[in-house]
Amino acid sequence: MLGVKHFRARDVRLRDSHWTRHEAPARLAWLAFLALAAFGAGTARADDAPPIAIVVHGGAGVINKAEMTSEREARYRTGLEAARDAGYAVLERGGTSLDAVTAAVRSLEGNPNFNAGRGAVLNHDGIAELDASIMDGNTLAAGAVAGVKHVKNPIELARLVMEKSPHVMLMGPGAEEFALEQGMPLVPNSYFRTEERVRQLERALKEEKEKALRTSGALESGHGSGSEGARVSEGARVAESGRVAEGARVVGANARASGAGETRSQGKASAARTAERLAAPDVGASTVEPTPIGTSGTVGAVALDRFGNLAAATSTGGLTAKRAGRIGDSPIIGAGTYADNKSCAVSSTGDGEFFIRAVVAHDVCALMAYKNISLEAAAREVIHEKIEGLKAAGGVIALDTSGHIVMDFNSDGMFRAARDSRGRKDFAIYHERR
Amino acid sequence: MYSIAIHGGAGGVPADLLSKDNGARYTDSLSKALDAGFAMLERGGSSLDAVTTAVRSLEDDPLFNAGHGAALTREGWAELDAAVMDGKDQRAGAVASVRHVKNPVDLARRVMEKSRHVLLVSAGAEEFALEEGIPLVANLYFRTDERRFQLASEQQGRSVSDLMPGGAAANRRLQAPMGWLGTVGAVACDQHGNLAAATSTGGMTNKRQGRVGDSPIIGAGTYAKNGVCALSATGHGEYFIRAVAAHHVACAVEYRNLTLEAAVRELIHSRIPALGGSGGVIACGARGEIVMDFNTEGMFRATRDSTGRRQIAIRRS
Repeated sequence: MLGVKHFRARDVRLRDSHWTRHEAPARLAWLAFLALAAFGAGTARADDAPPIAIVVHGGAGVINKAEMTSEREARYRTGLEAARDAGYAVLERGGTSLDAVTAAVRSLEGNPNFNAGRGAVLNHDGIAELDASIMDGNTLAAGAVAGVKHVKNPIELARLVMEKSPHVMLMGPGAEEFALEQGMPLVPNSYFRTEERVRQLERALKEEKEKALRTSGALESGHGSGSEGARVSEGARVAESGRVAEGARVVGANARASGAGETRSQGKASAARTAERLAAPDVGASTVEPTPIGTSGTVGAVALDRFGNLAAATSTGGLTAKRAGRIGDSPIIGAGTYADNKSCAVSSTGDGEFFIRAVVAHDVCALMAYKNISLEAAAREVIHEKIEGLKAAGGVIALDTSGHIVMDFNSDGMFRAARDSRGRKDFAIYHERR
Repeated sequence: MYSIAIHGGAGGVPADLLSKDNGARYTDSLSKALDAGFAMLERGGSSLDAVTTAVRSLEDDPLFNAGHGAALTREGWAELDAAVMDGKDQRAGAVASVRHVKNPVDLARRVMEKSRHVLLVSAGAEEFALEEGIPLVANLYFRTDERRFQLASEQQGRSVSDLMPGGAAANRRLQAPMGWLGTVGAVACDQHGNLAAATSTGGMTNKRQGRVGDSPIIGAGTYAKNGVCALSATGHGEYFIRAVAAHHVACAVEYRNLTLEAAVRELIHSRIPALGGSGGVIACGARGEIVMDFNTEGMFRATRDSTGRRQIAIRRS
């Protein structure tokens, strides 16, 4: 087994991604079983077969019910169910969990309603910056990309990083160079941009500007140091002169500087407030997130295949109006994505900074493996105690090798859908009524 | 008990590395970083300040693969990664692929303290540095002749040390099995029992542009949680990411009640090798106990605590 892993890690170019060497015997055995079953008593009953399952999510967060029209809800539902079924189809025809999660996430990346791939949110400069990661629970092989701007399906590039490079994580232009070397065409950044995301960015920048103006007013009335107040109002004037994007950027920078000044000048008295500010749900540079699905419309999938192998994948555009170069939890192995056949597969979505600090995905796996608790209990502890304790919000989808499905969150809702060989096939947004 | 431990990378130790003045140069440098960090603890400073100070000292020393003297990418650039984590409230900050920040660990700390983010990368991270009043330096500042020589050797198919510029120059025929991986890091426990960890690196020699290893990944190369442990890792980063190495040790201590020593041993001598990787970690337990373990021939390491223990070592003792 060690030899196989060694081979996979070091000489992946020789490997056929759809028929891995270590799977081949299992798959042959399975095909033989299917053939026998067909000759014999007809089709194998689902109960006898090892379970297969897939779970997908389309983000968790504050759900603005005023904006969540039934028409919009239907679009999310259609998109998630299509992704779920695309992944399930791969599993059903004997494909790997790795192929299933890739197919499901690719489907969501192609859907402009979700914050990944086409339709990703825009950063402060109006650019889509994409992150994705994938992990194989059988070998613990993993791949991730961050801050890519021209890769149509970041999840496919993450998979190539896993399978065709000796690395786990590549970012920025270096990741795109690798994409080109692998024969993957690049697309202009405008491919990702949708009218709705442009409007959302405009709203976020406007709110940021208004907030900065309020801050500058407060500073000028004597609550902060004079020089910082002056800098903020100067930034605000630039913003008012019509150069909205650039001006707002200056305001944003100074608003941050003024926050720091406040911490310095008021010392311990403001410690509590500073803690509160740091603990506030992350909404990038804006205070109010105008999207109907809150701050994180990240997408992800976890799957279990016939060979008993788990896989997880996550993809995102991050936060609306985020600072260029900000990376959340989605491409971080252990935070946004983790899979280990010994415990479970997890894809998370939520306030990314807090999910990184809590190493959410790996923590769910570790709790399950080390404390001998159920997947459900492990996910509950991480989301409702640890993440809740950090005053953050979000959720996870998770799956273990027995096919137990967990979808847990502490936000208003989480777009989610699941399907398995035991007949489960569902979609939900809000908390289930108990 | 308050304590600090630092590392300057793990790897093979060429026979003549410690000969002549070489050994003394490394131990002097480690000694300086160790005592700078320890002095902070001694006068009641935080573990966060201690690890930042120690790592900054190692970043400034061209012997180590971080800051000045960092390893170079395929195209000859220095691309730096760093992370810091405060065990008290588990705040964290990290930067990756920055090219113009003299002390990446200081910027990582700013990300933690002055932004609402945890990880900022490349140009965006440098924009933030400028906003914070941190001056940028030319990429040339980081590049040393030894690192250029290593890059050229690597590109001509000769494997050399990433860990020590002087060592590499003196060991042109060296065949290091896993290459050399001279990341730096520190862990500490202060007088209030607060833990902290910091790690900084230039990554692998001849690395692809944009390649990120475990150092700036919270949970992989750097992690700290009061009452559990603080860790900084060094080694073949890809394997440490896949194992979520630092968090894995913390989980083994917290959930399985393993001793820190046993948890580190399991990571370094079982989990990482099982994946095919090699390297080492330094760790500081809830009561300031220090564990330093590695599965390579050597690891530059040093530790000092309030009981008077002071140790600097390279090879297995």
